[in-house]
Amino acid sequence: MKLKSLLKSEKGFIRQSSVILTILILAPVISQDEFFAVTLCLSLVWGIMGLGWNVVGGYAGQTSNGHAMYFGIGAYVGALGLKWYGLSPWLTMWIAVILCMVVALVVGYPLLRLRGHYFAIATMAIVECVRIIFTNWKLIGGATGVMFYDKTHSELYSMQFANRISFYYICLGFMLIFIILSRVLEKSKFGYYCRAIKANQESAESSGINSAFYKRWAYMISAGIVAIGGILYGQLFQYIDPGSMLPLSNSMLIVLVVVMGGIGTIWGPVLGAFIMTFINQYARALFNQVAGLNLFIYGVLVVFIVLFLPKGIVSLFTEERLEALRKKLFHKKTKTEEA
Amino acid sequence: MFAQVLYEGLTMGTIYALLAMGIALVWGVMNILSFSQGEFMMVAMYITFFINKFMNWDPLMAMPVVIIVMFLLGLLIYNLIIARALRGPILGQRLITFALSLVLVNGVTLLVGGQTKSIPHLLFSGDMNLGFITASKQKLVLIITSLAVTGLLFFFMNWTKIGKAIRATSQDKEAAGLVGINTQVAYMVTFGLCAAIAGAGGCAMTYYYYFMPSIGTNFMIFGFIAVCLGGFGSIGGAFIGGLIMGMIDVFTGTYLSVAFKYLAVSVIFMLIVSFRPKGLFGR
Repeated sequence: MKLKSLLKSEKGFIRQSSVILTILILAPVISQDEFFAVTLCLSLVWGIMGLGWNVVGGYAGQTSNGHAMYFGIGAYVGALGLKWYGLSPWLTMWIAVILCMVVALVVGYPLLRLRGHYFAIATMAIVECVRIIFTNWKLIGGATGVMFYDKTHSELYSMQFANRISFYYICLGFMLIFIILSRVLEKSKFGYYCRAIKANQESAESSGINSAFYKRWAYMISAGIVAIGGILYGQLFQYIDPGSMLPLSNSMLIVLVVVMGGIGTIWGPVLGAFIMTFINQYARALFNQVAGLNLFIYGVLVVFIVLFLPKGIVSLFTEERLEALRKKLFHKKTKTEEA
Repeated sequence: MFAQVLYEGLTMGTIYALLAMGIALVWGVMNILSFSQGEFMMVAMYITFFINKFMNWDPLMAMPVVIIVMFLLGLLIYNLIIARALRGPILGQRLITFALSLVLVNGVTLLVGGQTKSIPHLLFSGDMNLGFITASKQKLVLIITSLAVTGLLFFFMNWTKIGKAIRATSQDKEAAGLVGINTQVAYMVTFGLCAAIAGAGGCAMTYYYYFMPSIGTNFMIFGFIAVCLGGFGSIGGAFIGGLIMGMIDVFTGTYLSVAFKYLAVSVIFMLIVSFRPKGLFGR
């Protein structure tokens, strides 16, 4: 009975997600190209990280600029676990998530008291610390990074697939989990408290919400999700180094993915991630002799989106427009049936 | 040795201070965290480089031209992008400056390539032996420029009408508008001014630094930290914050470890911000 009412109240969401998931499941059919498959995987990884950032940045309104830290820590835990101890990423991902949540707890204590730009800068500074430590830490590879291509275990165990499409479906599974998690958080009391804190922290506190507690949990959950993104990224490329995992631009790109798609929404980060990754990858591949063109195009696009679509690309798909589209499609279908 | 390190610290400090003052100005007046400040500096360096290459002007001679060009560029960017973005959410404003920095870095890379460049012939070069320290003349140019820019900025903000208008706008935009200040013009001049500061800074930095399109990004975070150390958007605070940053940078680099000097900067920043969330001199 309860399930039935739940299904009924979530009808719109279930319809949306089934359409989008169908598209995503069928996406690899479009092309058997290796590059296309990698781009799809990468889009999902960025989408997962966007969903993670969205918990603290979108719902709780704490615009962290330092989520590359959890991305990096997650990737390193997965890489070193596999390289040193032969542990499967399926196992180390739990370690990474717990580690990142503990780090987020410790870091969050002083940092989450900061407001606005101070919070953004402090989170940037802490990623910089982690980057310098990782760059100079000889034990974990230092600036040269870690190669951890694994031949001794089965593909499923090491999560390193010769066929990228299989990896794509694993990423898709994780993304589905985090989309459902986002939806649950959004509809739960936790989500409402977070949004109250985002709207106005003082009035949220005065109505009895322990803002420090909820902000900290939002930060920890988002760190955990981003850590999974890091693990998947590592297993996709089998090579990581501090220079490509932990620069400021990675932290900012996580934010950009969410803001381009639509901040505080579920489908926004996914959409933003696909657009960002496809532009980045294909502009780099098509104009490979012209250095910097991909990020140039992307920068111009971001300027336009932030100026003219401040609520992100998902704001183009309003309920009315979707309804109109549905009617149109449905109408057409009945016509063809009649004919 | 100590005096020598102090001199080097002062040099680094003035670079950070020049960067931080521009950031602090935009922060204090418009409440935007400007990621593009370092890139303005980089653009100014390339303008200086090309003036030097084609007209054979020394960077010091080119400085007024660079400052004016950068001021106009700032006005242009403000009118095209920032004025619109100011109507949107704060996060959008921050991201738009980040996108602007992406466009500038990669635009310059597209135009001139990513190689490192430097200015071949300088008016002042070599060292002065003062007995207790060996002062490089190039670095002295940087220090004097920074002090001059700071002095001019203070004069401008405190004694000119438009400077006073900018300060009034930063305190209360609505009230400033009510007493007849054109706040749009104040914002526009502020943004132009911060680009012009970056122009002076970049021009002076060509005296001492090799540069490539990504140089601004490397400095960016330390400019932010300097602003935070000084406290909420005050120009004097940013200058002192920049000097402190430079000192920490060079002293830890000399006496502890070069690899970890930026770590020290970040850790000290985290400690200060943990205990004083509004910065050292913040209200």
